[in-house]
Amino acid sequence: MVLATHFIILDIPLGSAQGDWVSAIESALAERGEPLRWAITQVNAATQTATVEAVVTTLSEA
Amino acid sequence: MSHAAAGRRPYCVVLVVPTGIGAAIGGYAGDALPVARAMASVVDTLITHPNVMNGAQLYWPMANAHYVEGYGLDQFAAGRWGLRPVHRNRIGLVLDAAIEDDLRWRHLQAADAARATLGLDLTDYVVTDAPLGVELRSAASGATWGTIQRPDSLLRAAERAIAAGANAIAVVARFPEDTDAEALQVLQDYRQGQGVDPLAGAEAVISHLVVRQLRVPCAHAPALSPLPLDTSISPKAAAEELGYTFLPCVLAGLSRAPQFVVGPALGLFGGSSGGDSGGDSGGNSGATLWADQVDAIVVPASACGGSALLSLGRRALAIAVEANPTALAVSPESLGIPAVRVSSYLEAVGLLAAHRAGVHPQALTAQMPQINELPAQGYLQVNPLGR
Repeated sequence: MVLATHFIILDIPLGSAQGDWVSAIESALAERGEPLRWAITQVNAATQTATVEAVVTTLSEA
Repeated sequence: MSHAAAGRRPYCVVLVVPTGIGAAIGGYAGDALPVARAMASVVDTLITHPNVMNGAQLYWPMANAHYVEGYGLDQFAAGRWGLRPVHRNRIGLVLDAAIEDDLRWRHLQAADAARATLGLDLTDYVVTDAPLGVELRSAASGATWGTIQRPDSLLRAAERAIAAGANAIAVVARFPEDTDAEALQVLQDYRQGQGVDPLAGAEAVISHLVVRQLRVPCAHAPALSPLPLDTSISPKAAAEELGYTFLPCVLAGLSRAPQFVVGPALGLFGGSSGGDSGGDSGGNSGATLWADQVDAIVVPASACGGSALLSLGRRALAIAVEANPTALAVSPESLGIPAVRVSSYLEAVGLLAAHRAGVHPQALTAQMPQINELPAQGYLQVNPLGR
């Protein structure tokens, strides 16, 4: 198995977190890999989204 | 009078200055350390992270400050991990195979100096079985990030150090030194105390990976060629101009960094402390810290999208400091975090002192309106300071 790191960007609707941003973001990131480091780096009031920049890891066959 | 003598529990504060976002205070060479020193003098326990504490050759040990790597800090804030203070750690030094011989010797001498001059405990060092392949990246937001091509090699080396008796890991990775005009300008800006640290995001990824996978304290120092003398260096970046390595602060910080205790997750919205019943293999763990013991968290007002604040911001006093601008514009209000804005770290230190003393900050001003009756009906807005 090969471990790899990936930089990704996600947009998350502001209403989806319902006060629990950590769970909402970690769940969204988990679809792309295992979260390693992330932060909300922009909030767009017009589109009502939060931009999350992150590094996730994946395991794949060699 | 100590908190114990006063019959109170310790007043505990988390100080976060995220790395790689160009924070005007804390975005350079350990230049938020004075903030940590001042804050530590008015609280019982300060929890902060390497970006705040690391000044390359410079560091300032504080008996009541805990040096917690960012991934571990986020897990602590989320209530998943506890922090168990230690008297000492044995540090394993992991060196990237990509480091040239001369530069490797400089780092080994820094390690030997820490052993001989500071009395720190290190195992023998480990060289990774492949170059780590650090790659730097800047996002559109202005934040810097990074990836490594051989995370497997990093983890194998750290595991070897742990097998040799280490319970904390210092990593030195060879960082790229691009010579194109844009990269040189970014470096020049950084040395002038401007812009975003191009290395910081990748450094965080390296230490996060070790902490996530191996659950031991970890911090990173980049290996870089010495830079030519520049007489116009900013004082904020000057700590990184003093020698051949940035390793001494990392070794000093790790030498007493708290160990991670993985216990039952806290119910952060009403649960009690995970306490000392779960998962602590370290013997007497009566002093283990958990997230529900945090009284306040202090962050830059424009960088409120980090995991630690998002976890703690609703249950501890969140203090957003306006006079520490960053490359970001993520306010507490935009994320629904009920933070108290202060103009400066001076004001933050004063607010913490008042909060710890149980003094409402309004009582320190000339404005003291009469008490009112709560409305019989309708929405009640709860102020984080009570009024």
